[in-house]
Amino acid sequence: MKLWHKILLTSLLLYALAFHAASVYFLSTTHLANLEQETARAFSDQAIIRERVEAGVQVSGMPADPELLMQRYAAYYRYLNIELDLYRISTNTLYGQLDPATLEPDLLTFPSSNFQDMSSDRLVQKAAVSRLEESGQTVRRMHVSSPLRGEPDYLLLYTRDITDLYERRTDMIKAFIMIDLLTAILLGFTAYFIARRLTRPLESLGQAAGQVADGHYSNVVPESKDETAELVKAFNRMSGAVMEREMDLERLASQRQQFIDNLTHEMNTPLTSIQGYATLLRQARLNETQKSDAAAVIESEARRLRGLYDSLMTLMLARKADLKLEPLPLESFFREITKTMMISLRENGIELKTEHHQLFVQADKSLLMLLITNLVRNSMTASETGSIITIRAERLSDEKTEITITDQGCGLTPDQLERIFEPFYRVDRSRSRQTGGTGLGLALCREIALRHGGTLTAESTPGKGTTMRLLLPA
Amino acid sequence: MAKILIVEDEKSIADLIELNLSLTGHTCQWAPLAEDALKQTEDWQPDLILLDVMLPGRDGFELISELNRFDIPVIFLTARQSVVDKVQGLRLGAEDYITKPFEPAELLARIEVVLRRAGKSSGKLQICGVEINLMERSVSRRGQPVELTAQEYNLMEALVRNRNIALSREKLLETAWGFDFAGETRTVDIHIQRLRRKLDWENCLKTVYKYGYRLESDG
Repeated sequence: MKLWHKILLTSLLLYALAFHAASVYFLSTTHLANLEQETARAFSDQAIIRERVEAGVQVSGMPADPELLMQRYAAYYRYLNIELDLYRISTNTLYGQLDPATLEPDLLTFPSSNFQDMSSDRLVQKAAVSRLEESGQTVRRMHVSSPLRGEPDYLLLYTRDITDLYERRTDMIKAFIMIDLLTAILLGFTAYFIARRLTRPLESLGQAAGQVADGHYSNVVPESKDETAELVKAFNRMSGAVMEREMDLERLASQRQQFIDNLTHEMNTPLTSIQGYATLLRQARLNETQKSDAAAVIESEARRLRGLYDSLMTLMLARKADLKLEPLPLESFFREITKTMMISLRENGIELKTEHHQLFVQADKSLLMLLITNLVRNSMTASETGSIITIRAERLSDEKTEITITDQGCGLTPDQLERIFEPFYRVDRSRSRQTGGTGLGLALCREIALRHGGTLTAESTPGKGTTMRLLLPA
Repeated sequence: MAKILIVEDEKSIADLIELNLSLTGHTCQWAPLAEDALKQTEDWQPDLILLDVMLPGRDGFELISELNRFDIPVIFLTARQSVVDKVQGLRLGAEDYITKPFEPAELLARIEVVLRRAGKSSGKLQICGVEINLMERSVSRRGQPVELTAQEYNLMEALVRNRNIALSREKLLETAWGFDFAGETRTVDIHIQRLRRKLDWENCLKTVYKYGYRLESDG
């Protein structure tokens, strides 16, 4: 059962209970009050009439035929819609037009002890309502009886038609049913619209959730201003987060795929060479120079594979190895770097300057060494003889220390700058082949920076030089 | 023999291909980049282009549509081994698709097929004093026709097509007798003897120790 069904049914049910209880109560109290009023009037009417009859009887005495007495009075009162009858208890005879069978027996029974009170003024009256089917219509009458003073064997029966009263009740019930129906229909419609309105955000949330499950994250559920707003907001945030996460995963997967594709290519090329030249050596008729060239290619291609293997291993180690973070004095660290690179620096005629400012950084010494020597070596490749490479350390804030490596080399175009951190990307393909570069150096450097909780970025102006910026948390 | 343009960014592989092709008498030029390839095709008018797919800048799939206007057959030679790439390559108008690493004998055979289909191979050869017409399947020595059986001719053709490259007995058996011929490798030796005698190839047709045979020719 849907929520709006529940809201609709519950409100209708509640309404029905309340309305019917109220109307039953109202109708019955009104009716009872009317009846009471009617009874009171009948009592007083009957008392007045009876006094008249009693007075008549006192003057002329009880006639031999009481029927005559009644006819005298009844004819007059019939004009007032009142019917009078006389009942003789001892003979059980009714003088008048009523059928005693339709009357309640209690109405005609007055215990003899009551007769004693007849002398007093207190009236003893009994009332009852009779119901008669007359030519298809229900006729209701109010009867009041009491014994005649002085003639206790005779009861004066007063009867008046009160069908009106009951008809009024029936009309009222009909009216109530009409109101009931109309209100129920009106309420039903209103409740339907309100319930639909209330549950619409839920419905659209449900649809949106279904779409999220199918992988469409872009549909944003419109926010309303009621209590569902929070839910909708949370939902939209959730689907946004899921989308972002999935995009991250996709990006990661495609990066991995790219890496594997490149690696396959990087491995396939030297393998093709090695296999091809080995086959040639074995099968072809080659002269001595050709043979020696083939062997040289095999050797250098094998070395290239070895370089690739070493780079991959280092990358893997940088990713997996436990970091041994220790406070590292940059003064001695930079001195060590200069010493390590001395020979190749001198060979290329390049000067390395360092500025340490007595700073310390929290780092894994061997990994940081790998990072910086890699960057310096890159700078060297880009630089010409006589130029200067500068390593500079600077404390940016209490939490951050920056190490920059700046060269005066050929620089990078914006295009190259964008791609240099991609694994296997090489600025100068043919040249890096000669120097045995695998294109993994900067990917490794960035990995090491990330492992330290830092970042590595590059800035460059073509023709002016490149600056690599390593930001480390101090 | 044919003029072949090698479009390949890896020098060592280009050298390898060139070495292989020059052994059978083809002339080669090397183009490391797409731009070089277009220029050299225009200037040199090669008979066949060997095209690498993974080139820096414009790749082989892009380049082939520009090369198509020269009406020169193109064979893709690439490290990409997926069927999708292969189908794409052939659909773009390549004559064949060879994956690296390749067998020298296979490379030569495929090149030969493409050249012959394109009508770029006359099929006439002069090797170790023997005139061979591969189109007519006829052999003559000093003007005199030499009668060869079908098997002998197939064997000779395999050796000629892969001249200066050693072929194993199994390879020769497979090439001259067909894949499903489960014969003795001794059969090959017997037919080689007959070829040496009929064509006077005692000096040219060398035995390669523990491997097979190689037809040596400088032509």
